[in-house]
Amino acid sequence: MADSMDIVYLISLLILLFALACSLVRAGLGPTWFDRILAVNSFTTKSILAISVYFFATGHPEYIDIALLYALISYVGSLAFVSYFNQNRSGVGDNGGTTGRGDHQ
Amino acid sequence: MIEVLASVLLIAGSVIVLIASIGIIKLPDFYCRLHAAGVIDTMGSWLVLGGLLLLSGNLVNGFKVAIIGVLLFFIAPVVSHAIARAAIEYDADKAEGKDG
Amino acid sequence: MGQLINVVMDLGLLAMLVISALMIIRNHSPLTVAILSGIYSLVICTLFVIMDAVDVAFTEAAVGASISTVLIMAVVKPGDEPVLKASWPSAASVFLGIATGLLLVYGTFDMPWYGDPSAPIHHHLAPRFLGQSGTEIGIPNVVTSVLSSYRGYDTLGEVVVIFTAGTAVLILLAGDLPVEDKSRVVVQLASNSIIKTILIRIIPLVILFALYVQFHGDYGPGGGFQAGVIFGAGLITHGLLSGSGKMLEVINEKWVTIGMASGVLIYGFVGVAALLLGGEFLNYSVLAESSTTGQHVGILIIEIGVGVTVAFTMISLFASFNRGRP
Repeated sequence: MADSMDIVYLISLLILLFALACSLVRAGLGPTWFDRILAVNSFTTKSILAISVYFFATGHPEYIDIALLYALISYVGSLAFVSYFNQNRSGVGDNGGTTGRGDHQ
Repeated sequence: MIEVLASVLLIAGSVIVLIASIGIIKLPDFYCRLHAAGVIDTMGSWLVLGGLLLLSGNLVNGFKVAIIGVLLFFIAPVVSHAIARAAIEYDADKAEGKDG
Repeated sequence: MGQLINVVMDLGLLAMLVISALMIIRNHSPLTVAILSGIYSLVICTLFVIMDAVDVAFTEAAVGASISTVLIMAVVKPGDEPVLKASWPSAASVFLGIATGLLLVYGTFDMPWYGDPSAPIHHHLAPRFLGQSGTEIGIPNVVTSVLSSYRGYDTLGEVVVIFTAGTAVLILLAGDLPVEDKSRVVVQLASNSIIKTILIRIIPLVILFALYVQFHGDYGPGGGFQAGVIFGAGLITHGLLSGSGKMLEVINEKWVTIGMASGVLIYGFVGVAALLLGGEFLNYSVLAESSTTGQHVGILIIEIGVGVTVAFTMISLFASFNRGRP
């Protein structure tokens, strides 16, 4: 039974690896910066899943703290991009930023 | 029995992640790709982590896996929302003629 | 079967590493390069995980996913001109690159195989560390025992390097901005927006996790460096959401610089205390009645020193980079 579990882990890791490659392609292709940030975000989530499955596959589930760290920290990069993007554009000084329009929420 | 169920959940979650990733490549517009990426963060991760939760031996590992799932469930949609908002304002500014 | 999983993941991730490096080299816009280097950091972190280097992967994850991206995004504008126009390399440089690469590959034929247990590096000090660490120091994580106790002097050097880097940034970016930049109005997130509402409540979890990593470093992956980076990332989130002025209201700028220095002083003081109690510098065995208790006490205190310096250095770097913004 342990051997069939190994095959399941291998198939799952292969599929996740292929999905990681798809995100990489989008990060290279994406015409706008938002496509690339989207690709980095999904790359982070998929690598959380891949690391978790890998640690269960090799029999060390106690190292899963790394995936927990990624889940907690991964938003900081995207938040920095969003915080600075609209402020840093040339020609935008007074109405850019994320409260510029639609304060109705 | 538990291993069969966990295997089904793992494979199903990985396949859903793969389908959504192919969607990220093939969909025509940024906002459509945002929809596809949202599937990965919620459905795909919950199926995979649910499978791992069934396979975890003791309580501590299961608790950590559950915490990862809960955190991804709350943080990832907020990040998608933030990126989408920034994209909308960028497009609106470009349509109005401000350079960017 | 475990070998097959390792080989498959190794090959796939190394291929993705090469592809992302090529994408970074060939791209024009600096903002794109900044985003792509985030992916590079993620791939290398997963490679470290596959290689069983869990502590290194931990540090790479903490730094690459958060701190480096934040600091680069603060200065890179979307409309920046590329520094060097990317163009196809000349024939001579291609030939030189390929020739050097082939020479290096030829040079690796004399090296032992990857992971070979009979390699010389596994017979010098590693058997002593792995064999004696359990009885001499008594903590499960051998990486922490080597880092903090057997090579404690090197770690003191690393902490001083981090402190020096933070001080150098403070010196370079001191002073006020020129007058025309002060007129730039910055709009922050509304306090009832979705982003701010949820992410503000994640910050306590991040800080709690930083404390967990700090004190759990003896038993699992973690330690002072990773904990400091995570703590800094938590406070940097507050700075991103509410402005760096609000972040500096939480911790005063004076206390940030005092914190940077006090971590190094805590580390050095443990060493001096060992001198005063009759042992050598940084020999923790003399700090308590029994030798292993002394080691535990020493490792605990120096890890706290490392975490304090790293955390306050990260906060100070972020505050320096954001000096023009409220």
